[in-house]
Amino acid sequence: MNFQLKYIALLFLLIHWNASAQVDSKKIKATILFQICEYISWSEGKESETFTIGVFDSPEMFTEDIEFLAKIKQIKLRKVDIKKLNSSNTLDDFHVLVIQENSIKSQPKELYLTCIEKGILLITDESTTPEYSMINLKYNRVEGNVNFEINKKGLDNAGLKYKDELLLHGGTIIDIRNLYRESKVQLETEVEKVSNLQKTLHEINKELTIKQNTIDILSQEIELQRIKHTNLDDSIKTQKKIILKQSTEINKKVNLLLEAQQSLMDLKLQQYNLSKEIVTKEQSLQKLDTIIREREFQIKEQFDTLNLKEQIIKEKDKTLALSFGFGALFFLSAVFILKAYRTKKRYNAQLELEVDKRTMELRELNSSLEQEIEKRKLFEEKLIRSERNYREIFNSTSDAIIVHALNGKILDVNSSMLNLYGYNRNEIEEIHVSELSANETDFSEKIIKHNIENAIKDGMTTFDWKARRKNNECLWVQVVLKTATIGGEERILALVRDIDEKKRNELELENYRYRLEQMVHQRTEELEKVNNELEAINEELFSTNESLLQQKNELQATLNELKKAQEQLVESEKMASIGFLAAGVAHEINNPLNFIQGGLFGLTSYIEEHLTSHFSELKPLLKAIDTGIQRATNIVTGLNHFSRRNDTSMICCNLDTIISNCLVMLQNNIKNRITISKDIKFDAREVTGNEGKLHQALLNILINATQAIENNGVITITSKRAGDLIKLQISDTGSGMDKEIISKIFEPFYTTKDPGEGTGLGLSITQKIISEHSGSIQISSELGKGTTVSILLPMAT
Amino acid sequence: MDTKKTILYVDDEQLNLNLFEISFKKHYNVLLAENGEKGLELLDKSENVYAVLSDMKMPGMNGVQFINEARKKHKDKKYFIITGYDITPEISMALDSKLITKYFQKPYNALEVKTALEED
Repeated sequence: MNFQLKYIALLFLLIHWNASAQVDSKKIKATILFQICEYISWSEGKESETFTIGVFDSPEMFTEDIEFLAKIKQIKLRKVDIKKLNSSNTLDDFHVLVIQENSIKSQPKELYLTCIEKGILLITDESTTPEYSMINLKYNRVEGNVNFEINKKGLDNAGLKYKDELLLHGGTIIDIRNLYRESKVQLETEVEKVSNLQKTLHEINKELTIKQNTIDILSQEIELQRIKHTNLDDSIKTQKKIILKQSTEINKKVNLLLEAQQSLMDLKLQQYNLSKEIVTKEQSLQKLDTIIREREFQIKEQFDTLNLKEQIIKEKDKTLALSFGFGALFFLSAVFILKAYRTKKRYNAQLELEVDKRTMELRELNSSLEQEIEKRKLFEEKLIRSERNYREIFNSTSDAIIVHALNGKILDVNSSMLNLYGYNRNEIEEIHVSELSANETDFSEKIIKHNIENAIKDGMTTFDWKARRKNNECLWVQVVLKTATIGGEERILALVRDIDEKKRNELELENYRYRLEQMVHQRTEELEKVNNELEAINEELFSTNESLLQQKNELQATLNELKKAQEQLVESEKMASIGFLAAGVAHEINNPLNFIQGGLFGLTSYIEEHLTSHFSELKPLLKAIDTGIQRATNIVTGLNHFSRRNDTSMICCNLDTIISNCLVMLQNNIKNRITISKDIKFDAREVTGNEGKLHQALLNILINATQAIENNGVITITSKRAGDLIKLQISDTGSGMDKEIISKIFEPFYTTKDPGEGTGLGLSITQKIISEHSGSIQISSELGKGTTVSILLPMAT
Repeated sequence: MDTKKTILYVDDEQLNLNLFEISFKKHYNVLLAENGEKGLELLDKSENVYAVLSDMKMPGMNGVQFINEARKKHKDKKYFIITGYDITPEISMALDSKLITKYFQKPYNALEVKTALEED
């Protein structure tokens, strides 16, 4: 034992040491197996010489290790024999069976029970059902050691005993209960997991529903958005309308602007005219200037001549002086010459005076002319300045001004024009007006000429034009053409304004407007279509509605008729059954009556013949019998007549008889209470009709009369001729009726009697019968006084 | 010499037959039958039956049926119906088709019947 303990301890250490060095678990398991066997004691039947271990071999099984150990070791001092098994072998002699889970196909439980039965130690390797093994080996990877579980119960059942020391080697006792608890706990955990999963599922579902809700909300929002969009569309439409309005306003403003422009143009033309006037004035000034110069020249010439003359005179003086010298001789002559000289001197002095005068005059003229020249120069300067100013204005207007001849040749332009068209001043004079226009048919020379003609005709014309720059660029301009007389010549003034941008905007607006119109048109068309469809549907619905209403009314009417007919049928059925009874009763009574009658007849004749003396005495008795028979017969006949329904033949009926029959039937109601006064005129009692029906009709009236009289009263029945008709009147002194009741009296089911007393059908049936007989019925009544029923029936022909 | 005419009365009630005989034996030779069959037999057997009067409600053939049969062989005779019933369609048809000359309701007036028998 000590040795074994030591060995065990060594092994234990070895196991752990080996574990740290990562020894093959198989080897360990094999070792443990051997150790375990040492601590197990088998039942007596297993005292064989060899210790047999059966191994169900499989790839994972530590068979080799067991075999190896078997060679070197003994168990319980016996040789160890290892036998490899498959399921078909018999297990009788084995001590131990070692098996892995997947080694055999049979259920672990089967094998376990077999081992128990046969007292074999069942050792399982890594079994998941330790309850079906006795010792289950388990390799603990984490700690690197091998443990085993001991199924105590199994060992006990197999008759195997183990020593407690076994537990020291890493064994634990399996408690089935614990196992069960463990498995239960596992189950619970699993169940918990499932419930958790369910919870998560539930939550996910919730989320789903939430998301669906959000989707719904979003879709609602989308709907709202759509509505908003339509609203926006509406607002856009209104906006567009506003824009249209605004554009019209803009147009108006544009027109105003144009007018203003035109007025501006007018002013400019005036300006231009003024400038032209200035120019003419300049020219006239120039002329004056030339005239002045000429005058000057003339004056100068005169002056020169005068000077010359002076010189000549001076020369002459010289010669005179010379001649004086010579004339000393010639004293006389010198006197004459002196005289002549004096006269000449006087003449010269005169001349000089004149010359002086003339020169003074000329100087004055000169100075005045110089003054005028000064003035004129100043005026010129002013003119030049004003001309410059006007030219400045001419050039500084933002609009281009073109002055051209009627034939289109350009005469003058302002700098704005040059800027606008991109020309230089020197290039302009070569250009024809048509070169300033776009090269398109709408802006051809023809049109230009037409415009010019309009301008000449009306004095002024305004139009939009496509202008062409020097670089062939085209732009939109507004042109005002005006005729003007400049310097006596007919000229055309063209005021050109750049409206390119504006025009382009206009065109765009036009486009936009057009597109809008198109869209609106389209939309209205669509709406109209939809509207038409809806109208058609509406009409259809309307017509179906109407037809439905009609059908309903028809059905209602039919229903009412059916109800009436049903009620009448019920009444007729009642009557028919009564009639049937009545017929049967009548017949049964008729026979006995016949006997009585026959008997009476026989008796009467016998008495008349054979007992003549007694006849007078017996006569009242016989009469009594006869009366009885008659009365009984009458009642039966009345009943028969009343119940006569099957026959619908129209025969000649006697009103008297009918009424009498009815009265007979009402004897009970009438007797001792109501007095009957009947007056049927002889010529007013025969009508063609159905006896039975007439009976019923008149009976109903008579019943009502008897019921109207509470205690005592009178019923008056009269009939008389009224042309081709018979007027039958039945009056009673009963309680009468008010107007309301009279108005409803013929209505089916209308009754003043308590429920159960009457159906309320009597008079309606009566009315029907009378009308079938081509007659009419009327009721008049006074509350408290009585009622009269008047019937008109055609006389029997 | 028997100048009395022969009349035949058919009725299932014995009492009626008796009474009829009593009432009419003075003026006529009265033949009686209990039902249609016997009536036909009598008609065949007897000679010169002047008139036939029959009840409606009888076992076997009813009155009209009996008269229909009788008429096949004995057209020349007068036929009448006497019945406790009110006029029925059958009787009214028989009247219309001249199968019967007249019909009487019970209780009949013997004089009325005699008058009808005598008139042509």
